[in-house]
Amino acid sequence: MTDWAEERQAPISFDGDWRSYLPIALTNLALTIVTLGIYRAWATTRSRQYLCARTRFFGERLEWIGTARELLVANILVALLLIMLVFGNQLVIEAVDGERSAAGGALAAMTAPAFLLLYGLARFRAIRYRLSRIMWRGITGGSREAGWTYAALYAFGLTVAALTLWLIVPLVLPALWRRRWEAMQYGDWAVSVEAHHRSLWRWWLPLYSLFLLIPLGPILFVTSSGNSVGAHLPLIVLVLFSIMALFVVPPLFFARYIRAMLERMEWNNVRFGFNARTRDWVWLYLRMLLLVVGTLGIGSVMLEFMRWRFIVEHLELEGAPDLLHLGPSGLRDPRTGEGLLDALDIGAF
Amino acid sequence: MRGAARLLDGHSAIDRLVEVDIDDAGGRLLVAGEAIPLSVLQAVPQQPGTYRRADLPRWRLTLDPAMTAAMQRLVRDDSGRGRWVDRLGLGRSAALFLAGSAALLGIIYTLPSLIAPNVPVAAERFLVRGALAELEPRICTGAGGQAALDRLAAAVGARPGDRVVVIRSAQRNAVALPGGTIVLFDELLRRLDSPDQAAGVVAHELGHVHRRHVAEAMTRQLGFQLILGAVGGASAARITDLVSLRYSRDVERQADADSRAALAHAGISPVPTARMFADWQKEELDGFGYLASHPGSGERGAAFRAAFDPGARYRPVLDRQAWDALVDICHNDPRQRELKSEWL
Repeated sequence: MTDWAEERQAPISFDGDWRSYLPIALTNLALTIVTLGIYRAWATTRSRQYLCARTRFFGERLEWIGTARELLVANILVALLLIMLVFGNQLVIEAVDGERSAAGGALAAMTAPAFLLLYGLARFRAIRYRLSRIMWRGITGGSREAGWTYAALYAFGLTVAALTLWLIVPLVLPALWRRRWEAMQYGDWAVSVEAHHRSLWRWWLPLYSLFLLIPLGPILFVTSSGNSVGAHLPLIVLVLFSIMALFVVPPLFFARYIRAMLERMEWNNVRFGFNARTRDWVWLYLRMLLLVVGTLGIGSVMLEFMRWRFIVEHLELEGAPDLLHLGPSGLRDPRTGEGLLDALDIGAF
Repeated sequence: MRGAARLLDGHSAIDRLVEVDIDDAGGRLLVAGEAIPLSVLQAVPQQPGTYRRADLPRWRLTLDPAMTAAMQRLVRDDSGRGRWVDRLGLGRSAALFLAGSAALLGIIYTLPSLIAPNVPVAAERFLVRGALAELEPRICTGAGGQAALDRLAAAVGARPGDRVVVIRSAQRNAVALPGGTIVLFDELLRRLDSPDQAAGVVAHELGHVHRRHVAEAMTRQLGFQLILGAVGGASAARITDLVSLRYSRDVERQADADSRAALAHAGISPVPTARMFADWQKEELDGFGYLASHPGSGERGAAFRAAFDPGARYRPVLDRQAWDALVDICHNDPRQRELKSEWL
């Protein structure tokens, strides 16, 4: 319910609390277990209904209008597709006499890019699906595109980035962000993105040098001193690289990247912004970790709630939507949910 | 009952204040003069007081709080938990789902033992032929070793077509591969102190092969993965693991029983094998019994010790010279490199 006096509130706010969410999350968990996971589609839907209902966007509550059935159908379709892809690929490789033959090797080598393509497709379609199911003032969003072009660009961009040892990440990620969000619309208003990579280089280059230099330390140390740890050098370097690549560089870069991207997004006279800094993200994930570990895993039912609240609380909106010139999207809604995303276990942001 | 409401018609983002009248007797709601049958109205989950129309997906009516209670008597709230759960109640539907899941798991659990004997061995071999080809160059061929091993295997009931080999590995283990090849890791041989123990181990693995346990496990695993993986995600994977572990413990007991029968038939004493389990028990941490894939060594050793027949005449399966050749089969084979990974 919305009344008129609330229009002067913060443009976006979340009034859910863990006490009212927990019963939903726990019944979801129980029913998901006894149905061997089938209930997950209903659990997801119910959780999103709650999260959307407790979120106000310019005074008006959001509503999740997606259904559990469409999620279930999508999950089953995608599972069948992936099984066919993996098994089919394996059988063909076996049939052409193993991975060591040229044809078999080529097929095996194609598996990774094919998954990258699906991954990109999944991200695009998840955003499209969610925009088409989050209703605000009777309006929903989505995209005219099916996402194949984006998927191809995604696979290409990440491959090229990997080939440059991730040096060109600030070029590739904003380009992909821009491509996928500019394909989206909400109501009959397109989303516009001015995602700029220039500001990111300032952060990326020092980080990247750190990423390269820190593992270099032990190499120099060992080669100059002829120390006995030399035999373990490759392992030490690998461990250091992995730590840097997984736990140091992404958090330091990620917060700035998300801020830079959202700051340049605009929709229907509303300018977006995001004020979560690296320490906010680290603190969020630390709390999540403590909660999950401290409750022996049961606390994981609260993660979606925490993530949603975090995003809503850190989103900044400027301006006000022009309601007079906002109409229905006129899109045909995707008929099934984000199965690919679930199967590949990725977020949509 | 009359009152005010806010209407969003789904065509425009601008809401209108409208007058509504609940016509209880007529089973309809008058919204700004338009009559809407109560039967097409549905409550929006998590948004008390807001209603949608089954025939207009974007249409939303938010009632004045004073009218909400009256409306709730006519149009039931939607908990969002799903139709079945709402109809049966949480407890009863959970019990029903649990029973259904148990039945499904039971079917997947029992089917493979019916299917497995009919899976051709050639099909098994085909599925893992890449791994088998990789295994081939790693088989130890030290002088006299293979001949001793073949004799030992024949004594405990190896059939034509069965194949027992040794590869170099730091693991203390033996496995029956799909397709019927039995692989002993040389670390296991080196830790044994009698050929009769090796006979007990080989007889156990032959039990797996002859009963088609591998095909059964592969079929079962595939079944669980196909059915649970399609809808379940991570929690289903854990269920699969637990169920297949439980399964393998029963199967291990069966293979142990086969091993004891084969030893008795060949006139080989079960006592050395019992002693081997006793040695292993000392190395085991207790308390992980249920999660282990094999029954505890204590239990297994006791069963072998109980199989000792005081009236029987036992003799060693191999003489000293043949046993030495078998233990050193990798050591005497200079080509062998250390197998570091658990490749299977």
